[in-house]
Amino acid sequence: MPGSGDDFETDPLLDQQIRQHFAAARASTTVPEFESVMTKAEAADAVAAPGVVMSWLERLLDGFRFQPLWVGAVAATFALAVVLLVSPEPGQDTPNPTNITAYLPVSASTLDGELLASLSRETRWEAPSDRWLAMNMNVDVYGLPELGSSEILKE
Amino acid sequence: MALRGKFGDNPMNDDGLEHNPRISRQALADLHEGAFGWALSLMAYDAQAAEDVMQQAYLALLEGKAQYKGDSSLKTWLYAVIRNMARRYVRGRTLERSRVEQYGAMPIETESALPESDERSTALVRRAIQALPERQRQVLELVIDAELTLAEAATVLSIGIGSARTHYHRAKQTLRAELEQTHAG
Repeated sequence: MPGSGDDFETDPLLDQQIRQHFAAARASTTVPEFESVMTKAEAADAVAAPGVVMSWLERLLDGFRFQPLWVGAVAATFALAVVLLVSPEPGQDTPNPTNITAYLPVSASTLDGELLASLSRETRWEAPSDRWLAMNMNVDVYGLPELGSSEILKE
Repeated sequence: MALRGKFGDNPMNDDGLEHNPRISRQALADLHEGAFGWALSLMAYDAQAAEDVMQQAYLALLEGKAQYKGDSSLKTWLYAVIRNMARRYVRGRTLERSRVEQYGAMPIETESALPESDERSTALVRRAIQALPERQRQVLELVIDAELTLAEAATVLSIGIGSARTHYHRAKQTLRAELEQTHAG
């Protein structure tokens, strides 16, 4: 009895009609001999069989019941590894304030020139204190015009 | 049906396959016709494609790529292997996808000796079967035509028993409704 052991009801007439449907669908097709199909299978190459093109990945995963699951797991692991290996370490992508020119669209020398020009136009210089000059610092560092300490003092 | 469990109890058969000692050649030969019908159905009744699928399935058995361990009946296991091979075949040849989906609309010409009223209801049931969703149709085919249990059909289709039961009941309800409409009309 079909489905014996299962808890579904039977309907002999309906079941018969369903069986007739499937039998009729097969009626026009001749079943190939078992030995003929088996002989072809035995003769077929162990790797490449006619009619089916298997990719190297399919061949690799052949036998796994849930192939898409395995492919997904491998792809996710690979993507995670790439992200971990390629992404910068924490803080590495923060601009370094001591090297701000590296993040500007102009070269350092151009920037220096523009700064100097701007400073010379707009800054009114006042003579620094003696204490400051005594420190013998290089005024160029601060973008000041190249003036000797004596000249500054004269002004 | 006679083969169910036979080879699980006796793993070493005289004509067992080299890489599948639990499967005898004779057992495969006995299941061949029904298995080919299942392959035919999966391949939208394309005989050549069905034969290719059967060949692939037998090759997998011969190579031991598909290993029968006796966990289920040989028939259930073989039908599941054929289904997997059919899916692979369809993936490999993209055009078959649409043909498989068109299977439901395939015209079936048969001669019938049934009385006119029975013939009319049979035709209606056939149309209703063709209109069923693929999974429902496959469960019906496996349970009613191939005479598998719902659990075995679920194994073949890689679905849960609850899901198989639902597909089966819905398919039957649809077909029964069609019949009742016919008788009422």
